[in-house]
Amino acid sequence: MTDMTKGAPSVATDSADESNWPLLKSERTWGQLELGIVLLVAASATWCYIIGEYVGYYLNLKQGFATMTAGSMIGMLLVTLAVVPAATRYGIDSIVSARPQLGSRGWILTVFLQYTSIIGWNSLLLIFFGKSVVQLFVTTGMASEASAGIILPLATLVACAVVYGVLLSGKSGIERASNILFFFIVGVGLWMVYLLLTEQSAAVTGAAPAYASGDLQWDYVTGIEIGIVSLLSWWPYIGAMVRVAPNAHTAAMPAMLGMGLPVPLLSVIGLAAILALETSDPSAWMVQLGGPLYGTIALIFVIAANLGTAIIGVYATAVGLRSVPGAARMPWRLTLLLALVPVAVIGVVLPNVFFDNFGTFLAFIGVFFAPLCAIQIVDFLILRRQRLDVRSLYDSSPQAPYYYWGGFNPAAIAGMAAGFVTYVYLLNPLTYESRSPYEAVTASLPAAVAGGLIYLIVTLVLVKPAKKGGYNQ
Amino acid sequence: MTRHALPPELERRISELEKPDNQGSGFTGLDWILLAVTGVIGPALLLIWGWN
Repeated sequence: MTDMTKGAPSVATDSADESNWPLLKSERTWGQLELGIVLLVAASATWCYIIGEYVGYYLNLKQGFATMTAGSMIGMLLVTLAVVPAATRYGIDSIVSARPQLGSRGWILTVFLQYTSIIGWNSLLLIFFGKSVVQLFVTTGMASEASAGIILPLATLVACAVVYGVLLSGKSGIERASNILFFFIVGVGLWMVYLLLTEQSAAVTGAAPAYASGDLQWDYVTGIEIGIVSLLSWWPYIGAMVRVAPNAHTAAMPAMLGMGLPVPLLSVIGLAAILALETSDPSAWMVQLGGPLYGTIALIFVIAANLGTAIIGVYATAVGLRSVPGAARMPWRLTLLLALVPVAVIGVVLPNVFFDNFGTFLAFIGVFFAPLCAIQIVDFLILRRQRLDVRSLYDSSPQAPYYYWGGFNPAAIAGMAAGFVTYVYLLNPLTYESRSPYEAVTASLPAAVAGGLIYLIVTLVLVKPAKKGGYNQ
Repeated sequence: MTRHALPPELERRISELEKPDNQGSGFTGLDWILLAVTGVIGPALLLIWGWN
């Protein structure tokens, strides 16, 4: 595996590795394999089972697999087009890549979105981690069910400590952890799919979805929608990873096949399990299906997969936080704590909140990230023809091109608002009640189209004529 | 034009990246085909298969 610090002064490289500063060409040395492994480990976690479970509420195995996979790949395409070209051209992360669109103050919205979404996901993962450790102790006879109340918070805290320890060494810690977890996650994941589909094939194929609405088209589109918004979740993660690739070509296949495809494939586990066994959690059904041995293996898989993804999530959050004035000068260890402490608090104090509100959390992601992706695609690929003023990415002075008006770009505000209104009109994020034409077009795709279109119009009518945004350079 | 002074190390990085030779290239034609197949055509075919 390539060492990204080779040939560069260690202090300077470490500083860029743990900040939002751009990585130089000499530091962006990850090939397709390295990047693919890191992205795969980032994508492969317990949330796949929950995604599969949600789709399994509405659709059978064949339709659930088709919609989940199609939706996931569409969502991954949006994220890839939004972030990869700029991140790989200039070695920047997702947050910095959004500054030209949102403005030198408006970009703070993306920090908020990243912080909220990754903390949410990481809380989910580490709570699952803790529950799996409890199950592992119970399955192997090392503890009783009664001691779960003590083991669960302790395991969550231990997981946080492990994540913190790994990330103290920056991105090289991620690479090492990913290499260890890769074969384990892929191998055991495939084995679990095989086991479930062979031993429970009749139950899986014959099962009817528990919460089907009665309108197959609505259920079908909802399966697509769940796939799309699940993969839009990768927006905050992907920039911090692909910026280590030397160009967009190196990142294209790892992004689509390494980060996009594993989610629906692993989600099949949750989909099949909820249909056949009425629970998506492998730590529960593997013991039921194969006894203590299979159960133990599944638990170790869940523990390892969650830990790998949490490490990458906390790293991406910490890099994003370095964009915030004040946080940029903090020692790396303190920035890591800022990303990790809320997760630990939620994991110990409110362990059931995220489990009980997963659907709302997914909709929250779609509401904001769908228009954001479209705005970035329109701006970078069409309006700017894939060129940024790299100096202005780090310059918040009123003279800088990305200052717009007071640091905010009205085109981005209008685009985000249009996307938000469109999404909420079509699908209520809290109740999942929908309005036509949701059953034909989903909610996130029209939200993306509306956001991108309004951004384009306002930019052409207002921003460019006012010579703001650096479009005329 | 007055612009904010940047930390020396960031200034060095920006100066390097302002040269087009030091920037990463965009998607190739083959990448666009891959993106179209995996992100548009493939999903469309899957949805048709799943519906039938």
